[in-house]
Amino acid sequence: MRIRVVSLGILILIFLPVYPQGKVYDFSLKDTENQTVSLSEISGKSLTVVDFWATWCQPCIRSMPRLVDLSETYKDQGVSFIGISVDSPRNLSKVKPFARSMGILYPILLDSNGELMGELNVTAVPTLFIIDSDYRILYMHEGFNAGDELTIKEEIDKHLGTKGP
Amino acid sequence: MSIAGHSQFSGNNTMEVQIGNIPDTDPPWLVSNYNQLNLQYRYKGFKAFARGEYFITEFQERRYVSLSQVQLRYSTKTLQFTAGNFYDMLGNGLLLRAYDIPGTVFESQGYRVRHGFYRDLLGASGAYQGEKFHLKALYGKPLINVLPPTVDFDERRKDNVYAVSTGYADWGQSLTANYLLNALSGEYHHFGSVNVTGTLPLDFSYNTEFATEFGRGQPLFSGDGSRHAIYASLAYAGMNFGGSLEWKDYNNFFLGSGFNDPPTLVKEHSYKVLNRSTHVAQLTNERGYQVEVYYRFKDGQMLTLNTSRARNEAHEVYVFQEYFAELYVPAGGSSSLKWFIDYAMDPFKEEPNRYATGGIYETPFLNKWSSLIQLEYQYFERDGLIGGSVHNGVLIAGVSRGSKLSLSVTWEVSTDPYQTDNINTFEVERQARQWIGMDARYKFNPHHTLALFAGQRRGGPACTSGICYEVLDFKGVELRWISKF
Repeated sequence: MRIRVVSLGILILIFLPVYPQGKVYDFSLKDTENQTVSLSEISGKSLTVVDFWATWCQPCIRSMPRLVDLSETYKDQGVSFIGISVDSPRNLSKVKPFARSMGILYPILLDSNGELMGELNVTAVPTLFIIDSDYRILYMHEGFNAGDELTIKEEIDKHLGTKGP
Repeated sequence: MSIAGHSQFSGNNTMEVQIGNIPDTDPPWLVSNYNQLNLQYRYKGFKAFARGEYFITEFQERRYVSLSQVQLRYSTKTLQFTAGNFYDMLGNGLLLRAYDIPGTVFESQGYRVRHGFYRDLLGASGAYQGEKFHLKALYGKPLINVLPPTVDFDERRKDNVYAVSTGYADWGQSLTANYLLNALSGEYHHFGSVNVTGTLPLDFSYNTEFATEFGRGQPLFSGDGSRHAIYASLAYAGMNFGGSLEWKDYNNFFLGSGFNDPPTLVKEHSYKVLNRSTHVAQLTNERGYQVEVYYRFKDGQMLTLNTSRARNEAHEVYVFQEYFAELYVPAGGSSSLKWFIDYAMDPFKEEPNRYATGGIYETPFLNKWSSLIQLEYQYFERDGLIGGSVHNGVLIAGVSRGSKLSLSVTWEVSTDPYQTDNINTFEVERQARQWIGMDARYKFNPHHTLALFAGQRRGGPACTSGICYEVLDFKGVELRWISKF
């Protein structure tokens, strides 16, 4: 009986009207320079792309060169990129060398406790958010396959209100 | 972490239905349903969180409904107070590490009860984070995460942990001191650690931590009786070249029921044959190092080299050594090719020489479609009672349409007697064994994803997010529905 009630409650919750995407909060995390940085200090004037990744995640590694290219493409249009590594202490020492060797020059923050991951309902890596200047979540992308960079680019262009560079 | 908030309700739900069982196990078509619901409410600096789980199966003694986690938290820019279930870590995890692995459902051979795989603390914590100074205090009962919710609370949360951490950071350097008291079964153990991290000129950075138990009356490093854990790393991050060098020395440092998690200094592989062979650190006695370097060529190719070594001294000395190389090659447009080779000496597993190679090729086609093919091969000669040549193979072929739809088939084959043997017979069967499974995943919208598995899935050790655990073999159908709201 108890299980039936719980199951019904879950089904009701799942099929309730879809909630708006919600907002990201002005979180603070340590970066790879051992400095505590908040979102408000590094967010873009128009949009911010927040990418959760890990050094052991194959799709994350495939996505990185594409995201680096996108960050270069949009850097003069008020779009900032932020990488958030969810690597545990097992891989923490590799994060900065790995990111730099992939050509990542945008900020890399460290969420080794997975605390921010939980706050933002991230259940897999890579997960990418596009947020506006009020930190509203405009788009979320889970996973990465070849060609996904085109979809992400389309979303950035759409929310910038442009047809792209 | 400080968060300035607004009112928001969010959550996610994972529902999993399995029709099947471990191969050659009765009943062959066991029906079970596992569900995990996570709810979060945030209003300004206040947060409330709850996790509920249930498991339904035909075996009455394995069923449960559990309010697994409840948390209340209040945060300002500098202060944070938490009560209930929470995750935390001291330094690099030498003394304490509580963690969550989202989306992972665990089932042990002994209990056959499915539950979420996380190790949390039940208690309270308070923290102050200033610009340069921090102070944290916590009390918690760590969860023994291999025990399911059907086991008594006192068995799952045996330890009591009290900890204080304080530190100072400036000029890119930070110094942290940690103290931890573990109370278990009437025994009290005092531990301390000092952690120094920072950045150096010329793109170098370092991280060191030393931990020991106080009050044992023995000098440090006095041999079998001393308890210590030392970790050190030096990393370099250049523009096209980077690397890290790490060193470890752990002696008698499995704390309590296992609530600490020092860095293992072993590569976390994403390739199946290597992931399954990952060396698991033995905290009773292990010393070793890991070196990893990356080099990115002008045309975008990237070379990764890794070597790791671990020396364990129990009744005899075991030395694990691994050499790994991987080359990533952009193959025009969005296509890419990755290829690896690996050699390891693993006498503890009776695999003195283990060879592996493989690769992944991914390419887009049509409009927003992509295909992937992954091939891996591993060979070793096993010593011991059930010895002989072992060949392991993996072939994965799949297509995807962005992140909306993916279909793949996985074929695995093995001549490992530990896999090919039928435990219900006296003789050791050595005929090659195969597993064929199909995975389909469809994302209806940003809030609902359906994942289907059908066929056979090979079990064994699996490592993810820095944590290693056992996955059971499975034959049947598995449906997973993930909702976010």
